[in-house]
Amino acid sequence: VKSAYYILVETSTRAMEVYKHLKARGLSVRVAPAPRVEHACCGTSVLVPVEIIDDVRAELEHMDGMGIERVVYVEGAIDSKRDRFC
Amino acid sequence: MEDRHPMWASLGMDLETHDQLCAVLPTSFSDVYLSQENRPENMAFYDFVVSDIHGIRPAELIELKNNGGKVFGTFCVYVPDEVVVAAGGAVTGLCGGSQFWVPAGEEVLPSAMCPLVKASLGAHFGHTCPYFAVSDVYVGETTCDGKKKAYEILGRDKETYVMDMPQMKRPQDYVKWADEIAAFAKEVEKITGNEITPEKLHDAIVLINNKRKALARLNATRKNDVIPISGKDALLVTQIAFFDDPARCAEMANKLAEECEQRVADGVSVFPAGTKRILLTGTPLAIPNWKLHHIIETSGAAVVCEEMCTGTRYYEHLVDEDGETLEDQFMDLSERYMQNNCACFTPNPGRIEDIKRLAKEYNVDGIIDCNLKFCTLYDTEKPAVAEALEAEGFPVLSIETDYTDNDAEQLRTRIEAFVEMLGE
Repeated sequence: VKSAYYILVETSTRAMEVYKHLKARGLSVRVAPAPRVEHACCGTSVLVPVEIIDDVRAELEHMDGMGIERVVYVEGAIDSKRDRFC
Repeated sequence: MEDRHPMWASLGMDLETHDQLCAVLPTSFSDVYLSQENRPENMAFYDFVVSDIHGIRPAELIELKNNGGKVFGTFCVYVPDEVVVAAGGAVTGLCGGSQFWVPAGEEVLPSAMCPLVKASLGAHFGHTCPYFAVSDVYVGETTCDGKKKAYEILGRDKETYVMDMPQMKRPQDYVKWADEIAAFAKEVEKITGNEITPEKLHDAIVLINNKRKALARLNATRKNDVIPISGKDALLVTQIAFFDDPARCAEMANKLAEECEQRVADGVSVFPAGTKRILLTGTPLAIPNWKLHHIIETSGAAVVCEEMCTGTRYYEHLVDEDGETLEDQFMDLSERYMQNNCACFTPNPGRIEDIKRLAKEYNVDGIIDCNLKFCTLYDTEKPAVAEALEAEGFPVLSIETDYTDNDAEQLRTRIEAFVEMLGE
């Protein structure tokens, strides 16, 4: 079971831009469906492993204008043996 | 976050119920897909598509409609996309892979019916799928009794055109299917207001062939000892192909294939050396049905091939591109589509021959033959599949399941035992 941070971004297209920006800086982030923390609407976010959140936060400081809304933490975000399917 | 609710409201969707589906998708997708390590970088595109699967593509289809285009929703790999594309229309697959839609389907269908059919009708009548909502017309086909009756029910609520699929493969059946395609083309012309010419149909045949080539190229990389992409990821690519723009689908699949070819050259596998290789055969796995692949690939094995409609039947075999008249082209289409060996045909020895061929091509250790509950066609073929494949030295595990979570642990136990047996 893994917990993770998610970067919530204004639109799915902008989320891909944020993903590509962070990947280009060698950060192992991933594209992921936005967790349903506050907003029940399908959408794209950027998943950040807990181990690199500090490096990512440092990079986010320089990413004004890319539509980043906030970063949220989700406890137990990934569990390959949860066996809860759609 | 971008709010898609106004768009869904414009399609007449039940927003409150649809939000419940949106709430469960992220967890399921994360557990199944993001728990994997060392995936190909180009899977990011497919993660992106799934993340906003009810937003991005439906918005494109709405734009097409606003510009006068028509959207054809289809359920089956026998419906020739080429005909719709030649008339300037768009084809979209229709949702049917989630338990979420089953209860609404059971309000209009018997509960003793396969979950794929129930989910499809549930998505329509529950107003919880934008692909159903955005479709101008549904195109069905007579590939099983359940679907035939379901189309009658759907047809009372939205225009539904049904193609009469031959049930045998005699020479006259190929002619019959060509005639059905010709009749479908007339209907498509009427709906779109656009004439289908040999030139337009040729271009559409080339376009869809290119999509098939790209998907086949990607899946060919799974034949190697080094497995560059998981079965789950390969399945996702195929599932999304049913919905995506065909040119973009080919472009992205080729990019992913190129990366996977490089991974093979570099010896980069997503599974440890010696992982048992599984061929999965049976009923289709409509998105977001990832259950079986996930259980297999978290039980010590890798799925390297899918002999099913969401697998080889979707991308194997090309349409001849040399036909010069519509009559010739309709026959060329018939000959390609009739090469698919669905269990709706009698007799159906071609499917067993396909499984034998694919088992060797993909160098598999074992075969899992799975049907959705109440799919009697595939269920009935199981003993013949097992007998033929075991005679060739391939162990076979036959299972039956549906979309619920209830049997996951039981399936995991059976599959783990099967995989362990393969190692002996």
